[in-house]
Amino acid sequence: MNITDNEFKNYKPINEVNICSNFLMGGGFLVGYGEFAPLRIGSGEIPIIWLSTQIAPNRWMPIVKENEALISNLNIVKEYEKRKITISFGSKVLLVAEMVNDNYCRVPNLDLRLTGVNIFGDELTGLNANNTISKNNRFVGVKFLFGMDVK
Amino acid sequence: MAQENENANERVHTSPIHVNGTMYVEPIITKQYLTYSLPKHEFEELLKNDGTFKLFGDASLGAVIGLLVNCGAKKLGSLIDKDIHFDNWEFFAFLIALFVMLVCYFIHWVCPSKKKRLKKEIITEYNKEI
Repeated sequence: MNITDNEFKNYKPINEVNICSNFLMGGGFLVGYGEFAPLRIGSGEIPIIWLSTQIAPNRWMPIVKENEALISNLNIVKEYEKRKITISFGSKVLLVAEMVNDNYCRVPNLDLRLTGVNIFGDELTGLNANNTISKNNRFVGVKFLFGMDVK
Repeated sequence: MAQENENANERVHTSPIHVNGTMYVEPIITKQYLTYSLPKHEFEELLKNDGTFKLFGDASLGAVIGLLVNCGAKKLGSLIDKDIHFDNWEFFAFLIALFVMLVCYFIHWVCPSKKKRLKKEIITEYNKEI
């Protein structure tokens, strides 16, 4: 499935995102497959999430668009008082994100393995992407925290 | 812990961390949302019409409905107004149309076609036990 840029027309980057102890400064995404980012966390009252799942190597299907689940069994809890969103599948939490303020978002828990992307982590252990661990790093002016070539 | 030490941590990066491999694991979420990979020639096959007998069957269905409404209306009319006559041939016309329709649909149902095979394949793929 091809996902067009039109899908993300309402995406507004966040200045600073702390993903499992790693700081992404100046906007940017967790992971890039070539130029495609399967997870986008945009600015809003609560974090605005776009999430795609990898149905085969580098073939994508959107499952969350602007905080709305596109498939059943996906549970999205929005807590506006805490400016927090939790996305889970059954009992497994895929993502917890909260806006600390309008320019800073915190992602204490992340597990994208259920979506076919081998990345998981939390604030204590850092991020694990294909056994590459990143902890307490700062990423300045980068488009992606983890990057990989797509053949 | 040893592995953690191998990775650059607590640093400022100005370029992404390059990850080797495909970073692909089995997507549990989409196991129940399998997609069918439809090549162009199969897509074109699906766009084709359903064949002559299906077309005749559909046309006959229209005639069956029209003649049935006509028969019903005339029968009802003849009960109310004695000048309206319900002729048997009108009912026979309905029966003939019905017969033609059933024959066409039956032939369409039993005759194999690429389109039907393809539809069946797609349905089977989506109904597969996971």
